[in-house]
Amino acid sequence: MKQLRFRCGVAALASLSVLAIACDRTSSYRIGVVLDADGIRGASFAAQAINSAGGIHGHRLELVTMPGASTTSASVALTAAERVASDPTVLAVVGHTNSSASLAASQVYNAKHVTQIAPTTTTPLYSRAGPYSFRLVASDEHQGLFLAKQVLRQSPRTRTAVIFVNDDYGRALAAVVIRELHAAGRAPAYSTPYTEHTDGFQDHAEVVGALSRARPDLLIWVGRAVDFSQIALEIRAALPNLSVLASDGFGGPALSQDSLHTLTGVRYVRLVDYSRPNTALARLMAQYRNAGFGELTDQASLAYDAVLLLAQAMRERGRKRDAIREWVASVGRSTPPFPGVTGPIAFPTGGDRAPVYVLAGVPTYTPTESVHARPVSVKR
Amino acid sequence: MTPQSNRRTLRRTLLEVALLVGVIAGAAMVGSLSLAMSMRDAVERDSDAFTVEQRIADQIVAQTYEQQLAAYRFLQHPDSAYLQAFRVAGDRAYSEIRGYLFHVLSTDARLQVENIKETHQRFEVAAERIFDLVRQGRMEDARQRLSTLDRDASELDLAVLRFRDARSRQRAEFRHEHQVLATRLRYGLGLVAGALLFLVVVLTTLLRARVLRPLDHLATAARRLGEGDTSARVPEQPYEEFDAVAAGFNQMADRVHAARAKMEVEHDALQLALRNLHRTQEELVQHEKLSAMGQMLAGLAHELNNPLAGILGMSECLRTELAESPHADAQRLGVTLAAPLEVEALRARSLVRSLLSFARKPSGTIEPVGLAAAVSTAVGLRAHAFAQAGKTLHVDVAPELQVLADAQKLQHAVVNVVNNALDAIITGHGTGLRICAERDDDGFVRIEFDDDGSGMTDPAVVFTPFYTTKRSGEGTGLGLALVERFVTEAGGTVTAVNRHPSGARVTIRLRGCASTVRTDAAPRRDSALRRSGPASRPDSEVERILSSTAPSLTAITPLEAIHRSRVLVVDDEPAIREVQRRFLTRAGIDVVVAASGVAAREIILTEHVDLVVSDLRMPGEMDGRALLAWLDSERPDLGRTALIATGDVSGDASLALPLPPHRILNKPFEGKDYVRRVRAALGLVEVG
Repeated sequence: MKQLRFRCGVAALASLSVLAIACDRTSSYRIGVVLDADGIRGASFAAQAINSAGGIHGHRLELVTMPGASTTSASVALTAAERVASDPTVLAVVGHTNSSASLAASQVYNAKHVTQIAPTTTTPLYSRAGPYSFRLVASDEHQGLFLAKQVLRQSPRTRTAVIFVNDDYGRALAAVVIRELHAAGRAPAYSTPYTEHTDGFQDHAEVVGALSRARPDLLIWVGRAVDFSQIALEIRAALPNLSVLASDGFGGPALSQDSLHTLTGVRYVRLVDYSRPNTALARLMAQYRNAGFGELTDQASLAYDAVLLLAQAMRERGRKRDAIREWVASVGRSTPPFPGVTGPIAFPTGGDRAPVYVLAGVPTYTPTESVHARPVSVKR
Repeated sequence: MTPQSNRRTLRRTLLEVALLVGVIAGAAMVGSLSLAMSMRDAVERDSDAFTVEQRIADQIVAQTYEQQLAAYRFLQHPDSAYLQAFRVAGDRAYSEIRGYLFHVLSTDARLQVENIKETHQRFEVAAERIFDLVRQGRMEDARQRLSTLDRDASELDLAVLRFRDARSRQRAEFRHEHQVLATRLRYGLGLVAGALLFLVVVLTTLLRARVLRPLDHLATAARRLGEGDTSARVPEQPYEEFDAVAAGFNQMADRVHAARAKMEVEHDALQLALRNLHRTQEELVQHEKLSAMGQMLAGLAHELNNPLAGILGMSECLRTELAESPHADAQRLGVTLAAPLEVEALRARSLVRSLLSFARKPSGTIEPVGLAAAVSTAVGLRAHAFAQAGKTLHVDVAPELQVLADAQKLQHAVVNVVNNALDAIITGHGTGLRICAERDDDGFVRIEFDDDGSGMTDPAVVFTPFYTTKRSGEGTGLGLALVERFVTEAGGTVTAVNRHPSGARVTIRLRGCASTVRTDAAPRRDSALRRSGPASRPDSEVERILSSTAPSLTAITPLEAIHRSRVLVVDDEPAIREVQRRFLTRAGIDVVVAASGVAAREIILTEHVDLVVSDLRMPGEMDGRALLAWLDSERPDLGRTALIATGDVSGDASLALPLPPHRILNKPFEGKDYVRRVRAALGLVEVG
């Protein structure tokens, strides 16, 4: 009889232990973050702020990060998305780093009913990714118009060249810009794609040669700053008076690592208006700077807002993936816009946010023009 | 723990079974339907998607060839149109590749698509570099780069081909999986159907054993109860619901049974009460009839007493005076005419007194009664009937025998038995009835009525009320029943048996008593006097009267002659006044008569009177009672000695008068007694 009681006691203790572990695992709210280091920092700041304020209904917010998934490779993004979406404790995802990765992973998240908020994905194709796909920026249809507008403000004699990264992001955005310039009768004198490569910008001599022959006054760079930095010296040598106007992909930590000042003078598009008077934004910027990460990037601030938005959805609807998506989709419709540090967040139609573009210069960071553009306000 | 607590509720069992069946069936059906539909949709989607993917792959390959062709042409003729054609075809190829994005693909397939896209991007960039060389006029370098373009194009074709092969394999696997699932679904459905069939069989068996059988028990018990079988019960049931119903039914059956038993008892009691009521009603009617007859007899006897008093007194005076006549003829007339007349008058007086005694109301109290007197009174009433029928009536009752009974009821009982005996004797041509009584050892007195009549048809039921063998109108069937009731009330018994060879015997046993009895009936053991029949004539009575009464009216002592008293006789009957006057005159007492109370009062106020003898009932404003009251008030000396004569010999009148019995003279009276009572009242002699 005593042995039986002992065994029963051991079984009860084991059951309680398993139950406690299970409760502990399910007690926190988990969000997957598939971004580069910059985005992860922004998300971490948001999680820290939420947990400092008591968490979600008393439970901690936990970020599930995928450090290796920060590349723009779609295959890597797919693998990471499969891992994150297959974890039932992950209720939503903030990611991915770029448009190709976000597009490739979006189908995995939609299949698994995981809400995906892409902070900086701008490719127009993402608008069709599915009901679980949201982003905190506008489609590049708007940015293309914005960039074309900047070109058209120049003298009609200004010759233009367009170099774009040949992926989902650069191809679509460049197509809009070229289309708009063609439509304005100011077709680019030269346009060419390039491929991101781990070994650097390939065949840059051919590109610089062709660019030089075209003699452009203004180069529209639709790609990353790190790629431009590899070809910048040759371009500036060949075309010393060339102005460079870059898309939003130009921004990021690379700007603060430009020790050769190859990027100086480049104007590029920012997706967040940091000059907007906002206490929370100012606090985040100071916090970011004080942490030694330099100037706050779009990726970081938008990832910050994405985490805040998802946490609020979990506060409102709990742990159900579908319920979280419903609440996010209702923001700006049946639910008031969410007050993010990057501005009010709303999804009045589909999963896209209203466009906000700010043209900034390297390295001064002095905003030269702030445009809260809407499609109707863009002059074609 | 009680047995009830171990029982499961039928509702719960049925619910569990139904739930189990429902869940199994529902799950199986939903699962099967869902699986079937999803499989069908998946197959359809797969077929459609595969077709679309094939088309997309063809388009990608085609557009790539188009680009490759445009690149070669641009190399030969650097015309921007070729460049534009290259880029248009490239956009189409990109658009087609991105068309895969929204297809349902496995991760491997998506990786292959991404590989196609990236290969295509490299192909395009490689072509653009060639175009850059061409723009710079570096044609030779451009041609050298064509191999790279061909290589990229081949890689792209290979990637597309791999994707198509992968999709074909995937589709084959999918179809195989579909076939496997379809097979499993068929087996699963068969298994579910078998399980459902098994469950239906189990459920049916369970319902029959646990529901239908208890219901049959209930129905059978209810039917039996409805048919009047109050012993029908339902056995104990396994389920609480049925057991509760069974317990309720059994409780109801118990109550029905008890109510029915109680109703039967009450019905029997009501039947008995109804019979008693009928019997009592009949008895009451008979009693009222007898009571009315008794009242009539009492009135008749009272009315007879006055003329009878005259007749008796006159006959006595006549006999006395004829006996004192010196003429032998007159004396002979006294013996042959007057004496028999007096005897008959005495006999009539005795008969009237018997009638009065018989008609007297029962006292309702059990008291010592002289059996001989009671029997004599009753027999006296029927003696003449026996004589008329020529039958003998012999009574042998010792005068000292006493019983505890109501005297009047005892007389009635004896008359009833004697009446029945007379009827039987007449019917059976018997000779007569013999009544004898003896004291038994147990203290009871046994009275036997033996006749030699026709006997009884069924002696066991002769005491049943309304039982009679007589014709309608000749008997009520209550005579012997009343006898039994009287005897039972007196604590005795009565039995009836037939005698051999003929006749019957009725035996009444009453509790005996040794106390003194009333002697007014003057019983004596003289069977000759009570024998009735053709030979029983009162000649001896005549001799007794002749020998005993003659000297009485002439016995006047010398002292009485010196002090002659004066008596006022008050009576409204002239004959009775005359008889009294003659009795008293012959006894040497002066007599003054008055015909009414008022006349008597005038005489008393004007003349000397020693004694007042007054009739009780008299017409006029002052009867005997008023006269007596007046005497008590105005002449107490006369009031203390006054005598009251009355024909009501039943005693009712005397009981109502505030006088001792020796001051009441019952009519008709004999001269000797009358004179003796008057002289006693005058203080001349003592009352003996």
